[in-house]
Amino acid sequence: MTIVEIEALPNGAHRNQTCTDVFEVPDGWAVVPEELLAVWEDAAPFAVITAADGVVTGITPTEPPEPEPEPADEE
Amino acid sequence: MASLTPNIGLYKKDPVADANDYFNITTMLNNNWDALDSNQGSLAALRTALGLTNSATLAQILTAINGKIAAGSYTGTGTHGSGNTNSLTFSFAPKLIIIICTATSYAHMMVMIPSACGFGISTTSSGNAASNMIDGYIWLATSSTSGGGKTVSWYSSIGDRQQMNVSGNSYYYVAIG
Repeated sequence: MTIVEIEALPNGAHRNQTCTDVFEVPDGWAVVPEELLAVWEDAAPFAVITAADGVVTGITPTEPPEPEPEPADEE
Repeated sequence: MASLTPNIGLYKKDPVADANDYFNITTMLNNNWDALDSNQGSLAALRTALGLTNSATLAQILTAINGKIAAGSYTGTGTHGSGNTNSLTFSFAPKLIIIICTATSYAHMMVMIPSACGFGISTTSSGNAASNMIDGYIWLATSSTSGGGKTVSWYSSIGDRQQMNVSGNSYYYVAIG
């Protein structure tokens, strides 16, 4: 199952999870139905999401924000 | 011509081609009974190992197995820090979660024992060719649980990479209960 957090983060991204497990969907999250999975996979994690009764009803892809320059991977 | 069934190799005669064969109790009956009984014996052993009764259905067996191991993925959102935790939810309280990410120039892995500790390991894709050792570093992550341990959250104060949450990156995990 694939779930997404309905409310977007300040940068417009949605927290998300795909899992072989089947579990109770957390409050504020919704299941992505099979017919919208391809749309979500193309858009993830930036989209406007609508949901009803714990199920995603619409996904409109949005532009990701400009990426910040990545620091060197050495701390 | 006789054939074998595809799953457990039960012996089948062709009613037309083999119509004149003598009936063989061993090959046509008893060997098949033994194969069926052996197959049921394996299922019974699996039920016992999972703590289920001998009447447990296949669906119940799968639920018992899935209740101990889960795998999946998520797409990074490009945030980090205590105010921007990541989380994963399961039908069970995992005892161990491993998350990996591979990119073109580095590989990251995070190991979490929920609510106890978490740490990440980073290495460049080539390592250190001269010493054949990992050329990277280890960092600490902070994890917590909610919902009876079934939801695990974590963060890193260092950056998106160290939180395993670079925007658009695919992360893969396995959780063991």
